[in-house]
Amino acid sequence: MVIKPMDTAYVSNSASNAAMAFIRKNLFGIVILAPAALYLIGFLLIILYKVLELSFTFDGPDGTLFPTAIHFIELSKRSEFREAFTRTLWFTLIGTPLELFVGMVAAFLISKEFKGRGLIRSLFVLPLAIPTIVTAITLYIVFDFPGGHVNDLLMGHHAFFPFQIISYPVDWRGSEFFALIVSIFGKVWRDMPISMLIILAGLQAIPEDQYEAAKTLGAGAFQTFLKITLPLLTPAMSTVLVLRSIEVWKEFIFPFILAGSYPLLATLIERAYHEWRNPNEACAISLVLLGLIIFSTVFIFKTLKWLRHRLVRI
Amino acid sequence: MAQVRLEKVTKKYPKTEAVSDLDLIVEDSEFMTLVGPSGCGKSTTLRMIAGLEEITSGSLYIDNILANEIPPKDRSISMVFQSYALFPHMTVSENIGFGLKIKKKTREYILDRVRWAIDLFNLEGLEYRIPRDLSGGERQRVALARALVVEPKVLLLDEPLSNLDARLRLKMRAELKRIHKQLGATIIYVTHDQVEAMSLSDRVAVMNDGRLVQVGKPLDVYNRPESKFVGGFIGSPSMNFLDGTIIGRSNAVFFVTKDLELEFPKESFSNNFGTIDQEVVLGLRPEHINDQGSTKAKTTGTTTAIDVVVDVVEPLGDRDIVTVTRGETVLTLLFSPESGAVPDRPMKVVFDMSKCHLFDKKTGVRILKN
Amino acid sequence: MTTKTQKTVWLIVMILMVAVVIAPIFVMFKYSISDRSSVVTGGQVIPLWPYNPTLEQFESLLAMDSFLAATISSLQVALLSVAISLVIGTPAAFALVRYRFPGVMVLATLLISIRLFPNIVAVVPVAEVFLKLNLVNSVIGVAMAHSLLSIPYVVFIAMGVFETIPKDLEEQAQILGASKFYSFTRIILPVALPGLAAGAIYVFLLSWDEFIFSYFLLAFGDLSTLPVLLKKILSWTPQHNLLAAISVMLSIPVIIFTFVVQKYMQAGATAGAVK
Repeated sequence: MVIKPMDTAYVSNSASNAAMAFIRKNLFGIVILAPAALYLIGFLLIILYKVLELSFTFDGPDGTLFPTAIHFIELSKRSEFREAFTRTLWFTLIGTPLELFVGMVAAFLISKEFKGRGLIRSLFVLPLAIPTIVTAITLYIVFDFPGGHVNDLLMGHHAFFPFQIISYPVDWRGSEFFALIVSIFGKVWRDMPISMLIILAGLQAIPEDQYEAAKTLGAGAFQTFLKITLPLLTPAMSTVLVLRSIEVWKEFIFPFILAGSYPLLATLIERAYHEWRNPNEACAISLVLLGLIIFSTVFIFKTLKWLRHRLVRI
Repeated sequence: MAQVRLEKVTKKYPKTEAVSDLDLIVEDSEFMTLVGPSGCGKSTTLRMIAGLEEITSGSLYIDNILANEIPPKDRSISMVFQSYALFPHMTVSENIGFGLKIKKKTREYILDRVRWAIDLFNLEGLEYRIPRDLSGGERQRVALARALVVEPKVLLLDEPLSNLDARLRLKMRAELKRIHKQLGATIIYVTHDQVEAMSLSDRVAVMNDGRLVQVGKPLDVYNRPESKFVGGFIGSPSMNFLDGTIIGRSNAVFFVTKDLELEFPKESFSNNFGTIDQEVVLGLRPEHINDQGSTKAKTTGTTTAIDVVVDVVEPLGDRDIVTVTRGETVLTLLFSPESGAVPDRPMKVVFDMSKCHLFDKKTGVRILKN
Repeated sequence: MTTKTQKTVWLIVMILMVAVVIAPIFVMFKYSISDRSSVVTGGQVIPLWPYNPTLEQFESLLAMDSFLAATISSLQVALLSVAISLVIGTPAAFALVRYRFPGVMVLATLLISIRLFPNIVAVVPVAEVFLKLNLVNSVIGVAMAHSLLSIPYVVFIAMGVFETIPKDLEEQAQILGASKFYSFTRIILPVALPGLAAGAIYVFLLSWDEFIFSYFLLAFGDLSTLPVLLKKILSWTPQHNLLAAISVMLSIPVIIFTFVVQKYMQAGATAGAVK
């Protein structure tokens, strides 16, 4: 009744057909995974290749490509580039901590139970639901010159705010300082919910008994915050800093709409591409920005790690 | 219906070996239960038979056909999962008819078979409900109906009753027995509940640590456990185990522990076990230690009563589970409610040594050959 | 610090914060229903509430060809990018959840974190490549660009959905004779539908809002999505109430849907952050 070949014990994955067996077993998975993987990774590779090609080559007269660093040299000679570089640094240095700070304030405001908490929470998430371009345009209107709401308010024109802070309207978009401040305001306003949600998740992960223990040991509110909340919140804060700094470095829409005359690196890419008609330099700026982002991310990461080590030791 | 045969079946995962060298024959129309503690490899074995897990080495024959490489759908098996795995977006009828629809049967045939299954499991009136609107027992019956409607040669059941409450479980147990009798299907049933295993099966296969430790009819396994593990696993409350030494003294053989000295009845030791002075584990089921006054105690023939102190009494209605102590030894006993066991009171009990089991202290293997 | 001062500080900060969050949104709505005299004031203070609230702006929008065209383009782009990213992303997510072959987690991480690649760095190369492929100034081109952004989110959200579906269902279908494709399309997808719908809405909004890729691909053509139209209108210094009306039209679907899919939205926004 038993036929010979069946008698030998079946052993799968013998070395010779391991690969075939793997493919056969996972065929369906491979087939349905492939389009996304090829599409995304393919595009990523094309983008990287194109950025490098455009930044590091120029078209020879006969159509051949020559490797060159000329675009970076040209760029470094442009005062616009140097100014944009400095502005971007300031923008990030102020914007990132501010995002963390405002996110923390919002998170602390709604961390404890109170009547209407759900409503306030939804309200605080609202900025995320407004298209960025709309927020930028709204700020464009609000900070208009000479007759915008902010100018009216600061000149004491409204009964509910009877203080005259300025006597002449400010040309917000016409001043480098104010244009950048308004852009940062927009960026922080729009991103506040994200920082808030991350911090809130961090806060909720702190067990209640930690606070109670601190209280029974006679710690005041401020001490509790300093010694319990803050250290336990560092992971969430680090997350905010790392993720948000990337977002602030590459911010485009707010400076594009609100600080058109004072480009950051991101908006300078647009200017290089559309006004200078120079995709090579646009890509070179992109690469500089990408380098800055990578460098700063690694830097923040390392610093935070070192800081956490220090905090733990103390 | 068909025979299922496993020869040296092994399942290896990168880090562990879930099933080792399993040899098992499930006869045609047999109700076989794989039983063992969680993680013993019984579910993995079932999933290998179903074709959901690859067999690392060894052979699986279903109806005398090597099935290692046959995909699940061509193995003529059906399976009911612990979670029932009813398709939540389909009605009861659609769920039951799913397998037939996939096999491209005619509409008339499908309707006919679904009707048959609905009758078989008393599901009339629920045909157009979706699983969410069914009770646990109804879901269970739909899952069984769906598995049986395709006329499998082998029905695999993976802890199908564990999600039901106690009352329903009893009812479904009877139902399963009825179905098995009516259809004569080969059924392989996995459970960690030894009571279920005992009450349902033609034979049980006890597994531990990826190995098959004993196969046999429920009562045989109960009465003659081949190892300390089986003795302890099968039966509830669990068998009492005592570590001690066998000592021969003045024409009699005794089992001696720090707290106890028990004499073996003459006829049972004469040539059944060899070694005197051997360290062994003695196993005795709760029902084989009786209170001195009971009728059961009188029929055992042993007369020496042992003094113990009652610790806890758990009345079950028809009998009491009584925990008693003697020195450091703790014993679990089954008494009739009339025994009059009262916590913290002393009482006398009689050990029915003709029913005892002896196991090797190191290996746990049965010594007594009776 | 006493409890009372604490509470006062909390209240003041809360009021301030609520005011700052609400103010821009309020101003946008206010402008959108403002009549001309409440916007062009000739040096007078702009009223906090329009003198004569009116829906004129919305009426004129409905008669404005460029607005209608941009709305249609926005819808086309968003729906197409939803279609592309769902068709490509959902099966991939399923594979990433169910197939545990070596390297699969690396691939999952890679696919999901591609969204961290700065869009502003990608935008010039994409525009240059699309220029050569004749995909600039086309709905398909913009939708493809958007799908690059949304596929990682679809993969992320769909993975979460598939993880909640017990493996038993597929195994049962498999035993009953269903092919993997059949059980994926007839069992898994229907069960996953509610979760996937939320993902689809999220991705729709992502495309509906998107400005950077759209702008680089559409800046000089006739075709505009709504965000691009806003920017194009801005450069000919229009009346603020018109800008605000378009902004409101652009925002309303987002606000509504955001609260419908808030759970997923937040998961998307904080993806990879809370682990």
